[in-house]
Amino acid sequence: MNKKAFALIVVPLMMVMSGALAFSAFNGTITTNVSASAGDMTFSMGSEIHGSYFHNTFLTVTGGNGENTVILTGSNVVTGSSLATVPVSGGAKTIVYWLNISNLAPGNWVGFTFTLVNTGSVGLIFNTPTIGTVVFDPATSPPDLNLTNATLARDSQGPSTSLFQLGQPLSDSSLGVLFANNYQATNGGQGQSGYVFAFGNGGPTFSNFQKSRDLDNSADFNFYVGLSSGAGNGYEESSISIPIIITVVSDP
Amino acid sequence: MVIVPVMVVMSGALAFSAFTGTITTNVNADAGYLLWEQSVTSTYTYEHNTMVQNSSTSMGATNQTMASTVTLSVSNLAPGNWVVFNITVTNNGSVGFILGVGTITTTETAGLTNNSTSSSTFVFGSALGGYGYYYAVNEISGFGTSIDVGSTATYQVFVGLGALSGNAYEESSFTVSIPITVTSDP
Repeated sequence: MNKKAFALIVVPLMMVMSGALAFSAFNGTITTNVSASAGDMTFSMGSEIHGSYFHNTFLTVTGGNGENTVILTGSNVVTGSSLATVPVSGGAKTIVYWLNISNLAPGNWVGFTFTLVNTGSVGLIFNTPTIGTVVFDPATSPPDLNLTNATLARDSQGPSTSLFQLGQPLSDSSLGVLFANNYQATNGGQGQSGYVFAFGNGGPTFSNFQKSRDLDNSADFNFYVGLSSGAGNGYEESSISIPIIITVVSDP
Repeated sequence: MVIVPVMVVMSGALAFSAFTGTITTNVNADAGYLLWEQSVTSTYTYEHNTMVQNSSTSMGATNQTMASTVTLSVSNLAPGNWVVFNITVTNNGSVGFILGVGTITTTETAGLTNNSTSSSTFVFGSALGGYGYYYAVNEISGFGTSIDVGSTATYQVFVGLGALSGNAYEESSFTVSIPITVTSDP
């Protein structure tokens, strides 16, 4: 019996990965887009009469700005009557509200409540109201027409009480500080008989000013204008226009 | 009794047969895949009495591959307001990857005098100062390092409007585009 040897041939199989091959990576990109936009800031201003003192006198009260002005006369000068809201719709960044009273007799006065409303989309702060350059009529004829700021005035009884009291004429005792006159606009000095204005009644009330107000929220203040009981004949047929200025700033 | 010897002869002259068999080794190589999800985990808004709107609440976590774009928006800013988005990227794929931040680009409403500024996160404290829009991208964790499957990376995006921005900025808009690169880890 012959045996033949098996011959096994083993062929090693090698796999070679060459470093010369280029290495690629899976890759992707997330792009995150962040968009930001700004809101807008506007407000409106309106007023209504909340008190007055006159008897058998045909007063004319005008309030607003330009074409957006309401004129109240005679029997319409009553508590609750509204003057113009500026602007008519939407809002504005700055508002100048003109208030004109004419045909006052010495001692007559009218009081107003002004309401400011945030009509924009961002919170805002109402700055304390100020008075701009008043307009006297007549502008230059003598005698001198005076306007006194009685906001912090004391009456004859001493500590400040209401100078504009319902049922009482506007007296000229211990009035406030001269604000302007039609010969030369000056501030300071002792108040004199003539036109008088005051913020608040017995002191300014700006409780919602200088603080953040959100959309549709409001701030209000009272304002009085009158002719003191000591005003002489030189004030006959005169009138005065007072611009009330409100500025606002967005609340960061 | 007859004994018949049985002889098995294997002759070289005979055709050689052998049992044969084959081992077949199948090597299947499947590639893994990149997959991630990105979600806004929290936001903070600095504002007072201003209804700053942001879209993060509607941004759910959905799986994304290759190139994807996510858009967040915040509107009705007043000067000084700012918003921060805290964003998380989760590896939902089968391979590790590395995140990086690419070149950031911005677009703004035409005509603004101060456009937009990239800044550090420190300016976003109380009211945001300065003019124009400001933004910052802050890598919190997991960037530039391998993220394995199931792990996360987080970053923040700040956007805001400087407190000194004037009325010209009302109803203006600004977009910052932040490309996050995702690369498989070799």
